[in-house]
Amino acid sequence: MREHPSQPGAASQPADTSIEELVERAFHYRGDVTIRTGDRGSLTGYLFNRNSGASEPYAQLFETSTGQEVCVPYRTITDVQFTGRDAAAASAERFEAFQDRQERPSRANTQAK
Amino acid sequence: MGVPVSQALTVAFHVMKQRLARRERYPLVLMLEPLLRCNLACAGCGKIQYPPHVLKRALTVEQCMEAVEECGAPIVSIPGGEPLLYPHIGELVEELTRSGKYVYLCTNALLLKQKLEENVFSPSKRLSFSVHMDGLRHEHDASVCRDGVYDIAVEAIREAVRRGFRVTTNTTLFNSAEPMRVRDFFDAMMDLEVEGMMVSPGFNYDKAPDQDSFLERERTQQLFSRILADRKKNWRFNQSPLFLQFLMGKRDYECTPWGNPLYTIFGWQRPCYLLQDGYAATFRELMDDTAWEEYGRASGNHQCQDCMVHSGYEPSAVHETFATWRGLRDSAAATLSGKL
Repeated sequence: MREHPSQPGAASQPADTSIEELVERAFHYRGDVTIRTGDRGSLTGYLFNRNSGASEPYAQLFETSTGQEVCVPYRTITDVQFTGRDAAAASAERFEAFQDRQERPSRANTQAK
Repeated sequence: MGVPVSQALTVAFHVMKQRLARRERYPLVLMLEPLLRCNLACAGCGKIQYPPHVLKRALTVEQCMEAVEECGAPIVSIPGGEPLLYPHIGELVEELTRSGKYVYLCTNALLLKQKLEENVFSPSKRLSFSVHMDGLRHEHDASVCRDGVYDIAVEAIREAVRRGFRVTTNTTLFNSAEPMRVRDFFDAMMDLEVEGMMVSPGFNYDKAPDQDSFLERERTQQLFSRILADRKKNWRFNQSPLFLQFLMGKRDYECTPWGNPLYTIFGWQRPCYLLQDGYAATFRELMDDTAWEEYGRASGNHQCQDCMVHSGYEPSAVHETFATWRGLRDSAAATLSGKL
């Protein structure tokens, strides 16, 4: 099986990663992230959209605790942490387990012969 | 072909209207996902891997109808997630058919029989259940990663047909597909008296759990050439014959992703049903502000090189059918002769 491209679990980022890069990684991550901002403290949620080309670049999240849609300007973001479980990686693990279960009887049959 | 005449005429008028208005890009089928939650976890699907609080979200019927109005496509396809998990699915379908749209409700059919028995839906020429069937029992159950799903779907199809509903099937093929088994599967679906079948190669979702089964372009063409060679006369397809010829490598099209735009809980997805490069707040913003030149095979975008999926290329085939004499002639010839 090819290595799954999703990042696993909570991950710290190299110090020299720009905010734009962090947001981009968060956009492709299928788990919750925690964004620290200069004005609002921290926000945890699923980052479902971003627009780095807008006159005021922004990221959009569904906040985990309230379910509210929140728009955060890039200029206020000081850090992004990948704090939630990656649902894509979890799905890949379940699929591998399913494949193992499927292959077990055929392996047993082969050994019995 | 399996598409009713009234539906074909609606699509034809829509295309001609766009041509007369000199619109280069226009939608044909709105893909409307009211929720992302599903009751299966298929090997090749990359659309449902989200945190639980996101999977609990759903569009309201009002949000759905606003998107339909804004988009203006004559056909609305409701994929997901599993649309039968959407608590307002009956109301949504009723609103859509009442507004004159043709609706394809894409379902894995696990809940279909139950919903039919609860009279959630009424038969209509504007409503078709598009049942997910990736092959015969062994292949389908392997594809959806659960035993017994094929048999449930077959029973639901029989019940829907018995009740007078339009029923089609949608089939995604991967690199494990064996042409003779697929041909046997087509026979089995025709025996179930479905109106027509839709087939497409799978898309290489980078979030799908199985990353080893997607078809490359050349292999797609070989596979479909073998499956559709000497096509049986009784096989009915609910899709353009020109698209099927494209899958066989007999035609070349460029992707027209705006033909099947997707509206979901995140907004209007850029650039297409398959790739997630961001979301627009309005349909107009999607059409006007997406860098379309960065997508499609000719762009060199590596994510588009092997894609031959219906959501990108069937609109191209339909456009050729109704916008060019040659396309109309070839489409009519394939339809009347049954040869691809």
